[in-house]
Amino acid sequence: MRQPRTVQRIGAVVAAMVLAGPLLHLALLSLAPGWVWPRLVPEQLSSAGWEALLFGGDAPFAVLLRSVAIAVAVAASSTGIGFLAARAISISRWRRTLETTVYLPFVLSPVVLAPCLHYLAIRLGVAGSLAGVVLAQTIFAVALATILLLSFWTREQREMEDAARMLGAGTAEVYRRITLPSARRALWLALVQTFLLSWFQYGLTVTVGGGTVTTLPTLVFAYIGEANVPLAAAAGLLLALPPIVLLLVNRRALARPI
Amino acid sequence: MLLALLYAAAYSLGLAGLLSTGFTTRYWSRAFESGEVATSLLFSLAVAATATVLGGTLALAVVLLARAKLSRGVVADLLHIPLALPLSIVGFLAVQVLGASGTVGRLLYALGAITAPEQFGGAVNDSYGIGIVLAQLVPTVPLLALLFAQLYRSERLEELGSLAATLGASRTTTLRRITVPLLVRRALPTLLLTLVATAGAYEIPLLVGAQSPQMISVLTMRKYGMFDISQKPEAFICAILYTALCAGAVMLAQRRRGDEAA
Repeated sequence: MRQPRTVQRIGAVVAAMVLAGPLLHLALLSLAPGWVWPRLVPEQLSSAGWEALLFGGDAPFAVLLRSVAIAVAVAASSTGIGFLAARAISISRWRRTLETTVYLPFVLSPVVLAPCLHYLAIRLGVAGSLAGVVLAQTIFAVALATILLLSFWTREQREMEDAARMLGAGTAEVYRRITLPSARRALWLALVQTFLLSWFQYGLTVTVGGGTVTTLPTLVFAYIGEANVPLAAAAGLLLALPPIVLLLVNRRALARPI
Repeated sequence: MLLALLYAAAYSLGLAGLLSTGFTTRYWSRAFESGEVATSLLFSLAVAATATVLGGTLALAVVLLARAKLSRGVVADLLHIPLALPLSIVGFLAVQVLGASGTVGRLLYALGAITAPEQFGGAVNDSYGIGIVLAQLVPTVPLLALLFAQLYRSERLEELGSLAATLGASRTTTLRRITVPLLVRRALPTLLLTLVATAGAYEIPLLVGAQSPQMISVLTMRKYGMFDISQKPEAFICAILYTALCAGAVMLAQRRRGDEAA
């Protein structure tokens, strides 16, 4: 059932405008310090917001590095745990029940559970620290990684590993030669998605980090709170750039239903 | 996570934390008597349901009108941009666009419809959650459009449509009887999960929502962050009720998925 070509073209142009609009608007806001009402376009453009962000007093590079470090730590640990958890679930006789249990933290709002996790972090002595933030985020990221990696552990995959073992390969060799090479794509997808989950996190970071762990999302919120529109927009663009690149690289994998 | 939830339950029943004086249900009674928690939960569900239904309808329309453009090319790439935007940025942009002196207000002024920002009033911080719904559409529509486009291919709806046309069905009949019902039925578990995830959204309601009623996540954080520690049990009650809601939705979605597979 084909749509007329003109309708499709008009739809595509409208879609392109709507989809690229937020990013362009954000870029314009970051360059327009004095965009007063009722002007439709700013009177003048200025790079003051960007200069303040990149060379100002908030040590943005340290914040950027901290955000990257947290996201990488969360992605690496949750993908590793998720890979093994997904294998355990795939061979379990309670697979359906375990799958449902894993879906729960994936759907739950981290912010709503943040007060509960804050207590856990206090008891473990990691509240208000980088380790506490990584731990709290990892709890949610493991669920996402497990769900993404469940589809990798098919019966065929396990049979292939069994065949290698029957031919004399040890556990380490099976993982090195069979499991990891065939899991490369699934692992990369899990790494990217869990990285993004951590990269976007605000409420959980603020609660468990106790306001002392500054990341790029908390910096953006601070600028929004100060009503500093150009700085908030510039920091927002900085926050959005890595996810856009990562999602464009992985867009085929993302198109699968949850 | 189970430990954290058990602690939340114990705190809300007076068995743990700074307010522990032995088992009591007074915090639960107070939470329900004031009506704030129940109102917040119902408001969150109403906003999430509206955003999911509206987002689903728009996504369906996009897929039916321009699905060929969604699989490759510039539009396909652009479709991922809203998904990559942090929700804090979406909320910030919503305020900049829908606020009283935002882009929409400026356009209305340019068109001569208004002469001052107050005449427009804006569509943010309203008690009906209109601003939250509109902002939530930014990530929801592309996400569901990608899902519907993928289902369109996997369910081979192009071939089914051709078959229906060969058997004499009109385009409207094919859409009404085959395409739309099949897509919606197959997408139902994901739509349900999208609904509960939207109900627990934080950044957008925090920036775009009104002081009252508040979405459940905003209310939880407000109660937890208050200097008055007697409000803390209500924060934990919010978390427990929301978790129960999510657990129900996940079980329903999984059962539905199981039925579809069978």
